[in-house]
Amino acid sequence: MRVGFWQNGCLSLLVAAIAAMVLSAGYARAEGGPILIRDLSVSPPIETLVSAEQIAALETQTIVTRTEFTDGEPRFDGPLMTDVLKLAGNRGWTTARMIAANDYSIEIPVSDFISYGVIVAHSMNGKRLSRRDKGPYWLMYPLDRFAELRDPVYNNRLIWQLVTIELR
Amino acid sequence: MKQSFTITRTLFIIVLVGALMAAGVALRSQQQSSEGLARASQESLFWSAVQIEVELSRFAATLGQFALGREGAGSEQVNERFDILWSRVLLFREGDVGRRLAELDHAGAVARLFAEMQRHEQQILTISGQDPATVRVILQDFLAYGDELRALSIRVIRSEENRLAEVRGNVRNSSFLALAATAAVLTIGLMLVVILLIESRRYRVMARESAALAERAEAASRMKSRFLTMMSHELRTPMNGVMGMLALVRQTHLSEAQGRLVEQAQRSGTQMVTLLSDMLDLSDLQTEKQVIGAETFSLTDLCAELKRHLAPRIERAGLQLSCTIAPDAPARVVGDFVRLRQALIHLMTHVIEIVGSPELEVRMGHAAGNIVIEIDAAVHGRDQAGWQPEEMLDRGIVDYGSFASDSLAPMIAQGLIELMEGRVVIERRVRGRASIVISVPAARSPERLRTVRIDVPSRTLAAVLGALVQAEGWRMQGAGTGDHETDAVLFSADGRDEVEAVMRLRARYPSARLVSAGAPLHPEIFDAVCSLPVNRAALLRAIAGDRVAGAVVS
Repeated sequence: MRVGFWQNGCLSLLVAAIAAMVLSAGYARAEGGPILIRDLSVSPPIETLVSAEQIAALETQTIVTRTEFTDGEPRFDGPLMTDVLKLAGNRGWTTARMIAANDYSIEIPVSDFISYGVIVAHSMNGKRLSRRDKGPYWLMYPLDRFAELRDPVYNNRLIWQLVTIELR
Repeated sequence: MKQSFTITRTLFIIVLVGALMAAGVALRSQQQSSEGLARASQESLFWSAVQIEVELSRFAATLGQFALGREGAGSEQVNERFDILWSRVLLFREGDVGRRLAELDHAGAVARLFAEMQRHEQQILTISGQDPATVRVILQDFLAYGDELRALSIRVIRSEENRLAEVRGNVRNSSFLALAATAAVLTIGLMLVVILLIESRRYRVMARESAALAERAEAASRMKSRFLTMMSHELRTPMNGVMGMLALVRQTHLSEAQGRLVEQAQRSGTQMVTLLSDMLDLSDLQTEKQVIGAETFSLTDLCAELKRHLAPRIERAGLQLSCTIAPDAPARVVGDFVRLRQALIHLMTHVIEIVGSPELEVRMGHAAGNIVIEIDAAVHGRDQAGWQPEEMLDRGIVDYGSFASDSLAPMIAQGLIELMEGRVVIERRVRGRASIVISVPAARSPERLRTVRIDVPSRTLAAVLGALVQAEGWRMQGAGTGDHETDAVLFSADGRDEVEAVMRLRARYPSARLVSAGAPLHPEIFDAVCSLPVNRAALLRAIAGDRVAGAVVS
């Protein structure tokens, strides 16, 4: 009986280890990814595919803030959105339409990126964000640093699984 | 009165605390409503709940199309939809939104869906290698959660509705509370105003009563003073008769014993006359009849006056009185000579009579705009073991209601000095002696005698004006003085051309102050106007004033 218990325990551990390996393989596959930046201020529109490597090469900024979708005060790392946009040029855009992998989209004034130092977070608490966990890119505002950001308007702008940016 | 004040204060505090509490309740209620509203609008539960349902449908649709072998629905798309669904399921496991959603998921549908996803995860990752029958089974497994997730979405909607209704109720309540608090504060404020009005009225009545009482007391005091003055006058007249008769009796042939008796009677009579005189002075001080004058006099004159007045007493007491004037003292000063002399006589009389000091020294000087007079005497008296001047002088403001008969003179003296805005202090610089130091404001009179020209047609008026200005230490312009030395011109047109005459005088006496004696036709061309009949002080102010100040003095 006792031996059976240990056998069952070891089997469970083995299954869990395999599952973890499979899961991590899944996460690894979902990590990174490009962001398509579409400049609609010119005709015809200019499309720039910013690769994960280009994004990784940008200077990383950190925001520590609470959100209603996370526990505690997580630390978010990633480049400034303004730096990411520079990769597609700088043509005096005023509005950015952010589109997620599930086609959710929201319009954000470009001035927000400058005023609040908005980042394109690729890591949370030092761990790379996967597609299964709001990754690979999550737009993050420093909600705790500015009182006016504790508002549903800015809550809705925390778009995750960001894949496309349309600029006007 | 005190109790009433305490009640008012307590009421005021209660009212104030009540108002503050009402305001606090209203504020707290508003804060709670604001917080509730903020939370209600911030937590997008419904959106998150619907997201999982939508993503399940999209995953199922992609999986179904994959099973049917449709183009654009490959294993990559299936895995992408699977990952997105996975991320939506994880929303239920983290953060405030996740906790609230999990609370509403009574049946644990999402937890079971997650378990299902974990169970099929390996198959989804290798979906391209799965046979269509297996894919369909997987699809059926996931589709089973569709209805449950829809029910969850509806539950979330209802919950949100209930929560918003609760918030709306709170807002309504807080509005009502704010209204009630405002009404309470207004009522309390109104009460406070009413209380203050009542109290104010009460205090006004009390003030009126107090004023009436004070007026009655003052009237009684005035009546007593008048009676005292009258009695003093009435007593002094027969006393003078008695003193005259005694003087006449002494001139007759009297025996030695009779002479001593008459002398004693004369001494007593003198004391009584002095006392009556003091009482009259005291009465004047009490009724504040005294008006402080400003005249030019010399300290030498003051010394001489003191010696002359006190000579009989000093001689009778067998004393030595010396009066010295500091070498740096001005020749003339401007002050109230009469009052100062009166005060000094009272003080000296007291010192001579009560103290009986064998040597009496009076030193006069001038410092910092004050005449400083020091009466220095030995503190061991003839009739008393010791003289303590501090007991009668140097005790602050004079209290006319309490005095001993022997302190009447010093008290009057101190009263007069205070009236002149002066002060008395006692100093003991030498053992066995005490100095009464009196300082009274008195400006230095200019060393050069100022000159006035009187240009009025009326000889009588000219004589009056001349006498008055000379009494003030001015000299009349004459043959020995040049036009440029003229400090003031007193002018009256009396039928002459006023403007022309004034212009002529201005040209001739450019630095002089031009004063009209009487009302002129053109007051604006004069530096000052002195109305008739002439008042001595007003005349002095008019001729001695600053030229540019130009004012009518009457």
